[in-house]
Amino acid sequence: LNLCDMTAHELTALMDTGEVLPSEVMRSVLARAEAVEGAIRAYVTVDADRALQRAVELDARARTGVPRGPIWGAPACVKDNICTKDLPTTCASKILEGYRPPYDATVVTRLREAGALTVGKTNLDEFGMGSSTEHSAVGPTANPWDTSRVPGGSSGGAAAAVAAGEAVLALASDTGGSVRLPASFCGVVGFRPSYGAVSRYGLVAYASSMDQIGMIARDALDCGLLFAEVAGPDGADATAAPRDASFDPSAFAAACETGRASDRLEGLRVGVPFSTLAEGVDDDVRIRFDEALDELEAAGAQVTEVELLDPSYALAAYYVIADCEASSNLARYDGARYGRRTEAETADEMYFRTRSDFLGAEVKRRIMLGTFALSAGYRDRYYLKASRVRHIVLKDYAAAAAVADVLATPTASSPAFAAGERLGDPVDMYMSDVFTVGPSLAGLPCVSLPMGLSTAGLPLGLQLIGRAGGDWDLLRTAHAYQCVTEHHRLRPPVERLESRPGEGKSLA
Amino acid sequence: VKLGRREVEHLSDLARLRFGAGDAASIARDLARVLEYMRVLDEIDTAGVDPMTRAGAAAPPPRRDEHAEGLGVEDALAAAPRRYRGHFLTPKAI
Repeated sequence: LNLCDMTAHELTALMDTGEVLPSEVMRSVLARAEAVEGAIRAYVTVDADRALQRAVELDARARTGVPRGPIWGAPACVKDNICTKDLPTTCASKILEGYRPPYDATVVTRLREAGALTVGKTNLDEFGMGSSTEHSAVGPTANPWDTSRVPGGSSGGAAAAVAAGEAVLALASDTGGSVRLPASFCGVVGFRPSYGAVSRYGLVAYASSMDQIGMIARDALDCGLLFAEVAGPDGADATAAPRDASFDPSAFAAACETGRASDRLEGLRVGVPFSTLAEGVDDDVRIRFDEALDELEAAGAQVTEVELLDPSYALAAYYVIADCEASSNLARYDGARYGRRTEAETADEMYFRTRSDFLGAEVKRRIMLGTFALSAGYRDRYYLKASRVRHIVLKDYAAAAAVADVLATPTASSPAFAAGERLGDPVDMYMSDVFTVGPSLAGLPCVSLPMGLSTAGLPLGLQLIGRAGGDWDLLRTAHAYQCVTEHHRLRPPVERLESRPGEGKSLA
Repeated sequence: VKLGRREVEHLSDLARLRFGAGDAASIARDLARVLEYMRVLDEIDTAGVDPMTRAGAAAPPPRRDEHAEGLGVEDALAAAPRRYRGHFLTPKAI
């Protein structure tokens, strides 16, 4: 096993004993990126020189025996819609080509304070709007398990980078499934915390009532360790909630070491909405999902059926609400204060030309749809109707929480699909999110865990959904599942990915 | 909902976007397709249900007003496409 394929907690253990230095870890990650990036194109910007320089600076401190945190020295990537002062933040959009924010996102500040090292900024569907990372102005990212397939989206770059060993940890964002879907497609863990658990200061807004910063890593323990470093209140974000006082990160890590974390599954009530899984789910997914439930039962969990609204309603409500919020949030891209501009005689003409020239097709589609759904005569029928359905979805989950400790569904109804396959019809693409949008609407914590491979050898994800504010309970459960299974140890066949010169053009 | 050329023009005016003839036709087709899917929402009875506009039950508590340093003119203007004497410079607005 190469250093770049290990988890942050494994690397910390090696660095604590002095067996391995931070610069050796970083060199391993950068060498892997050099070898596979031509085929994967996970990054918009790689900051190799500075990342290595910072790692070398940590080497000196590694030798002093000063106590260090759990993600100290870990190479991490950051989705390119999270602001970094020292690196361009493009949102994979031409309208922010070369844009340098005047401040760091709170999560970036906290990531660096914890001693993690940023490798670079990862690719996404423009402004987070997509499920395949094909709607990117720098070109698509490929899935490390099969480069003819998409990595999922919108955080496809982050998930592909972690899966391929081009980073150990990732900070990304999830509005309707943008952390969980790519985690499922790339065979890594993707955690979306409760709404408000993590500050969004410096996250470029898409749909503010659902946007959330999430974590991608190779196991649930790493997700939890990263979450612990970045979570908590922030004076710069009024929606960031107080930290869960019941959580003790060191106890979380210790639970793993004692090997008794799986005790947690004993008697755990796992609710499954079986009736909503009857149609439209690939056989491969259904079979692996049933086996995952068997694994949970074998460890003492009780699987019970819960009634939930058909997810197609949540999906429609999600896309109405997200597009309405997007049409408002993206009004700021007008060429006046930052980003690209097309010059014109009047300000209004400048707005028209700038936005038409530099926003991508999917972004325009969503702005148009949101504008429609908020326009006079249609607001009640679409926006308010969807907001009422959202309330029903929330109550639905609350009712399920009375009979189950955690809910389980597949993360996606299929493994990673072929590049281009769902570009022809927007609704086809939206259907990729059918199982992930519900918890987003309700603000619930949820996680996608690897649950094995399809018959074609592609990773599949198990989604666990927790109670509002129950982030640590959910992470403990996810970690317990990984104590009794080995799916998260599978790695993509990166040795097959030949080194090819990068083909994507740069926005940086 | 039928979206004709005039409706699409009206929406693109509101959104400050402009489409060529071909793009306008394809955006009208895509919007019609998506709106057709969204008709499933009509199947749900939402009478008496309040709209939910934020995740989580409660609004964040109000906070004390406290003075804090802002970005400062130089940082705020650093990414401006054009600037003039400490201001953003845009074409004539009126």
